[in-house]
Amino acid sequence: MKDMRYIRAASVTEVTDCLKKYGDKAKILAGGQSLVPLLRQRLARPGLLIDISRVADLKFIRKTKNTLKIGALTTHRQLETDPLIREHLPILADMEKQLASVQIRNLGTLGGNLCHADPAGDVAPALMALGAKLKLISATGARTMSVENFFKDFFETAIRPDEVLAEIDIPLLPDLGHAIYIKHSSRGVDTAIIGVGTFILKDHDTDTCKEIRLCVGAVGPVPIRAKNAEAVIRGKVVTGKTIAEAGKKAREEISPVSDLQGSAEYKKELIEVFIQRALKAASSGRRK
Amino acid sequence: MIIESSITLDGPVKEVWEKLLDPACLKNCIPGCESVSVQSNGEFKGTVKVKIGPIKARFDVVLTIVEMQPPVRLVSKMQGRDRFHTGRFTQENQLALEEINPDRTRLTYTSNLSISGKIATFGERIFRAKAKEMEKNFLASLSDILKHEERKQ
Amino acid sequence: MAKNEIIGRPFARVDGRRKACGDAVYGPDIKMPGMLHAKFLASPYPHARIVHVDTEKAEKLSGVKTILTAKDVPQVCWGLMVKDTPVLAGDKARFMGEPLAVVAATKREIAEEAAELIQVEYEELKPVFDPEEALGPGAPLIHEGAEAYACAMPGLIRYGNVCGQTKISGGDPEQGWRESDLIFEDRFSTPVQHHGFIEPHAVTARFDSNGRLEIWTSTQAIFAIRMALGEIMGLPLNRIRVIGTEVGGGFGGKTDITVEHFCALLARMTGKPVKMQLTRSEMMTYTSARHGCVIHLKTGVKKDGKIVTREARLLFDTGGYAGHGPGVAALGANTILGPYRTPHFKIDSLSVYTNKMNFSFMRGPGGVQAGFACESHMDRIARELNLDPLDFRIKNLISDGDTSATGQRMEAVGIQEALNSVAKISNWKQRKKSKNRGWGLCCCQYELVGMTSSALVKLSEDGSLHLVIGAIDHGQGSSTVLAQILAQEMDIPADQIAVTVGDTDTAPYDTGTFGDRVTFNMGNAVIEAARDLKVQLFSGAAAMLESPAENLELVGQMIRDRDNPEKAISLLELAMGSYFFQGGAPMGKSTVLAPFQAYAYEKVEGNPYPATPAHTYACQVVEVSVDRDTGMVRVENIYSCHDAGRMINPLGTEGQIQGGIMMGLGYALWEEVVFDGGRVTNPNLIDYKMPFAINQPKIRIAVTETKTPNGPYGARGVGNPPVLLPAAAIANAIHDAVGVRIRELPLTPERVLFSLKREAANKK
Ligand SMILES: Cc1cc2nc3c(=O)[nH]c(=O)nc-3n(C[C@H](O)[C@H](O)[C@H](O)COP(=O)(O)OP(=O)(O)OC[C@H]3O[C@@H](n4cnc5c(N)ncnc54)[C@H](O)[C@@H]3O)c2cc1C
Repeated sequence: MKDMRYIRAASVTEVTDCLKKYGDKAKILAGGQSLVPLLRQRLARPGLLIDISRVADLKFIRKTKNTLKIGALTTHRQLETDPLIREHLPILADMEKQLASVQIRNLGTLGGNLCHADPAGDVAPALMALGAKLKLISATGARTMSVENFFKDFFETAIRPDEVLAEIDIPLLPDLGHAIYIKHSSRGVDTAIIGVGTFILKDHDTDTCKEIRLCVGAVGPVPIRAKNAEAVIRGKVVTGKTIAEAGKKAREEISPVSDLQGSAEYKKELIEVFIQRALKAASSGRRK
Repeated sequence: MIIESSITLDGPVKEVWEKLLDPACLKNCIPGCESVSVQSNGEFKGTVKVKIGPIKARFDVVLTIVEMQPPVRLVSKMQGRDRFHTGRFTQENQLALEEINPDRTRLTYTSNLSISGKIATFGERIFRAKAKEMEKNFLASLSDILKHEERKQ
Repeated sequence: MAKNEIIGRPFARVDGRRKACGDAVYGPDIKMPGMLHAKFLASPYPHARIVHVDTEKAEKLSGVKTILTAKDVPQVCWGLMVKDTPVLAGDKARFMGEPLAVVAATKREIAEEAAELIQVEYEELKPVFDPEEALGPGAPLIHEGAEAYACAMPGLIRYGNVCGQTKISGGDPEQGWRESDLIFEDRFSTPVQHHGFIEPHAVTARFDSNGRLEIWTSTQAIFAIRMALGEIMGLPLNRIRVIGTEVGGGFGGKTDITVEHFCALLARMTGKPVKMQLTRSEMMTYTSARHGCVIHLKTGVKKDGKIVTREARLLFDTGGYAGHGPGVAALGANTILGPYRTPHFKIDSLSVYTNKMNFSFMRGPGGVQAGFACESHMDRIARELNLDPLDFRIKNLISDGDTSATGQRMEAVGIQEALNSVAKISNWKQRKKSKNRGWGLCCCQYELVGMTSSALVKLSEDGSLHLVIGAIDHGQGSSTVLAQILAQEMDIPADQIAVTVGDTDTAPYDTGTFGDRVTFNMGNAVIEAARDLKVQLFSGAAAMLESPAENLELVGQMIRDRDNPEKAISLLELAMGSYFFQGGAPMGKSTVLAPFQAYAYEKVEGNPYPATPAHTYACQVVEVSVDRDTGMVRVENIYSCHDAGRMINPLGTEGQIQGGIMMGLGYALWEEVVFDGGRVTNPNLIDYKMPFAINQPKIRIAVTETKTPNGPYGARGVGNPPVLLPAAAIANAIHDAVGVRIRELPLTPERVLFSLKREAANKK
């Protein structure tokens, strides 16, 4: 670490200026929960560390007419406990309760979690289900991108070296819309063996499913949408039969990779079980 | 860690065999490969860059042919060492070619990969998946090259 | 004397406050002026000839003070059982992670970088990782010329890749098979478990200008460390001072030298203090974890459920070096029959070299592996005979007067009472069986270690008492218990007693903190030392009071004449009198070699340990629920009953049992050091999964007290048995819940789910 410089940025502009100047030689430091272990092992060797933890402009949770806007530096714990979140997007509070331990949630940030792009991360499938958008800022301007398009590969995202993730913009749940996140991990708060974020919107009159997103984490290099399973449900009344069929389809369409949490064969079994569980819970109107 | 796969490629056995021992082709097929050259003693030398998010490694790789039965069987051993001392790997490969018909060849591949050093202790979960991914890409590129080859003829 | 006032009363730990307040000094806290930091270079191959080592580039790195390779260190092989371990690997490396070179530098980071710069040319050799394969013909020999190794323990059976073997037989097994109505056979396998202590191994060494070595280390056994260092450094033991720091968890993993010798050699070379602190991944790839084990059991029974005969074969994978492997195999052999009467038996237990790190002691060594196998097997037999698992066990329990497998006459057998008690608190007979929930039962009989303990009790000038011992309290609460024992003997409030765990210079000898031996054996030593002190006090007081010494008693810090109570003198007055006028400073001392019945050596071959002075007993009932879709097992309730002989500190007893159960729970459900070839794939505490606080089920504990003849007030250790129980109890409960028997640990959801699927497919 002897050749590494460190600066503590005070504003977003300062961050983007630095990034512009140093490009991929620089690395942003937020809560440090994922980056610091890599630095300590000298597996990551950035020339410059830009500490953004004091950038006040990146810490907020705001409600607009149709969305909740969350600053990238919002910690897991804030998300878990914030009254606005609990009222409007309880799925996120539920998701956070299952993510690591309180100590880690106190320090780790939403932005850091997304940018680290751990394929087993919990935040991404939940946000994907909600149809969230990300705002990326660079010295030359800002752009928005859906969470779904953000992840590229194991630990790789679409963020450019000169960009900082500033904000996550999440549409509020429509009436009759339900979103849940369920997870399976060996000790309850571990890295996911599988995580499923689900959003269902039903038609008021016919009770058929108008909109659906089934997002599965920890089964591939990036979170995956089970599109064939969605197709089974979309436009239909959700019943035990359609749920079973959707589970089967998801199992067919996703080929998970083995990791230390579970073998590919085991994950395959879980995909079916968890898609079914998610559908059952989301369609019964329970938000959890 | 054992990686096994099998793929059907366009082209006769002999051509596939030649491609597999052609440095230029290897360079194009191995993901992240920066150079490949054949040494006078028959060893292949090269460098391969692997990037997984914030972790970057550049391996100096030596491939030794252990046993060769042209054009159907190749046993080789690959050893790589990262320039930043984050780790090293050894990979023992067994590769077999089998003619399906004069224009199609089945390639069957078994390799035993072992990684050591920090990169392994820290990134096991990731590396396991990444190695499989790289192997998949390798075969895809090879298949692609062979497809194009055919069209030319 | 008002007996039993202090013994058996809950007593807060004497070390609690200093630990809670943060002023306890642990291994990593040691710092010294001019101190250097050390790192070792680990072999990247599991089995390789070392052709050439080039340190030139590394030596040039600024801040590097010295680098030692095999040729620079004493050419001795050390070892606790077999002297098979070189200081640094020279000709060949026998496991991935084995130290080949050590570097001392001004900073830890520099030492680390330098280690990476050392160029080594290797020639890979064919490795062997599976103990069964290692026994086969044509398996690579891990130690060529092993016959030439000296042995620290006599009578070891060694050949090929076997570094120790215990064989025990009794009755006539052949006749047993003929007499059996039914025969059951099972194969079990158990994983490698890491100790998971919070505090890493941390050692600081320096030489003073007289050439005397001083070493601070987080260890469970200061005298064992001193002995190994003496051998390696070529120093007489009186020129080595080992100072045990506070220990942040040991569990058997800090009984032997790990890096003490590296620090000592580097300190001698550089003339500077040298410190080495291991990282988690170094601990998990280099230091001694629990042996993985494969166990074959074959048991013949009568239709009515009486056990007739058993054949057992245990293969302990001991890794690249023997370590305590031969002893662990012996403990496995001694445990494999469980607390059950078995007229005929043949036990064969091997410690086998493989190309993995050296496995050694971990809480309940040998017994944990054997316990899982024996008790799962027992459960299966009970089920297939349609007997209640409790009744089946009761039918076969041993009792006082029976003979152990090793030929000892059993006394104070506590299992019957413990089993009754656990059945009662768990309401076993009325247990409710609901869907996907099940109940499992498990018993254990294990051995404790005796050997030597000595104690020193000093009466200070003001009449206060000071106990000085060399037995480390690594968190299990021994110093507290020993204070209570001294208080009891001297009739003094326990909180007025100071306990000092001394170093090898200042404390009298003790074998070490392991094998449930400190309360048991040091407890006796403290009693003896107190009695020795009382003899001195009474003789001094007799002169001062002009009463015969036999008439005197010690009550409430006064010595008085039984017949004439106004003839009395306080400890303070007596101390002053002794120090200035009569006899000098009173000082009670003792040394106790635990008494034991020898094993019947015509039946027992190859066991390197002295026979146990006492057995320990416990049993457990577990209730689980199983999610059939995911294979997830939830432990709902644990009821555990332990025989303490005599409980000295109920708080400490319960703490030991709770902690041990959690360790056993981790072993049952999650913990496994995973190997891919010779490489550990999960050497960190994210991927290696120990239970969290939220994973603790409801635990109800009962303690029975079947007094042990050799123990202080009848006490015996309670530290190991809790770890032996949960794995089998949970596996048995899973079987009860969903009908699958899993013979391989840990009982991961994946294993459970696929067992269920296989079972369903078989049914079709
Ligand atoms: C023991 C443990 C258990 C965990 N368990 C879970 C779990 O169960 N589920 C789960 O989802 N996560 C888990 N995590 C990860 C955790 O959620 C981290 O909080 C998160 O991954 C990183 O957040 P951070 O703020 O600490 O990021 P940092 O470590 O500071 O940064 C992580 C990466 O993101 C980049 N970065 C950070 N912020 C920005 C930004 N605003 N713009 C651009 N780049 C940025 C950094 O450069 C770095 O590459 C766990 C972590 C630990 C240590």
